[in-house]
Amino acid sequence: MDVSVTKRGNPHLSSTAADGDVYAGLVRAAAAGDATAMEQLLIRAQEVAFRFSLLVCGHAPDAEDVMQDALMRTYRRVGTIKDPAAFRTWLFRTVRNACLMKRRKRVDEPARVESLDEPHGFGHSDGTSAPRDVATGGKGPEELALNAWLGRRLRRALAALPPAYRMIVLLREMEGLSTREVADVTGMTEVNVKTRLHRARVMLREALGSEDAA
Amino acid sequence: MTGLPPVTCDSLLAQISAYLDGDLNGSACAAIEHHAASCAACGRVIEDFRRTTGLCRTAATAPLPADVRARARARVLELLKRR
Ligand SMILES: [Zn+2]
Repeated sequence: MDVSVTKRGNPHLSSTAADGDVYAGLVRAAAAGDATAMEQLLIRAQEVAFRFSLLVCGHAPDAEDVMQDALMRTYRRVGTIKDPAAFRTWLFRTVRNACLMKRRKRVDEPARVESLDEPHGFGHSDGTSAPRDVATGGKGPEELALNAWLGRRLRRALAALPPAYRMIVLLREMEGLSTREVADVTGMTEVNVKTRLHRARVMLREALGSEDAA
Repeated sequence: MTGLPPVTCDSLLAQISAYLDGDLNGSACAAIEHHAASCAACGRVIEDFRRTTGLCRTAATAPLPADVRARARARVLELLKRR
């Protein structure tokens, strides 16, 4: 039987442990007084905040506040951190919480908070909910910023995903967190993360394919 | 591949994330590759999934808009100056 034992699915297709190591290295150096490392770390923390805020929470004015929050919390955290390897998941949890807080304060959009915070408690029984308008439509600053960053094609494909799925795509596919880390950040089980990531990939492929055909 | 049910187009699609993420054992991977080698549609599906993930990874490494970067940098300099 023609069975290759060497050719396999790429086990690291979307997990980049090296990314986490970069953060851990910067945290260690910054804690030891390396000013350049501190500067880089603070820039990265804000970049993470921007991407998460815009893609998952989707409110451009909030993104600047969430970036500021990530900046200050990272700055304060560096001197006290015990486990540099855990910094990245801490950062994403922090950013996620900051996004949720911002949205809770926007009283006109209570449903949006639910759809991100409690993916099982809102929308369909499989944890999905209707895509929010953020990434879907309008000509607001979000759409312009998302188009500039992702390109129109990928933005529209991501827009078709329920927010809880979009969050997993961002964390796992874009930022390169491991399944375990995504579970830590979101509070989901690893099984749930994998199931949702798979569904999200199927949806993304269909959306990208239909744009090709269009 | 003894003991494993034969791979169909549907079962391949259902397992494709586990396959690409390295969650399947050697014989399960081999069964998928065996099917894909003789099924052009499934070969394309696997390529599409790889390309989709690649597209996402590329997006994450793209620089942020220049004005956003400039503000991020200004905030850092302001903070470190005050140190
Ligand atoms: Zn097939």
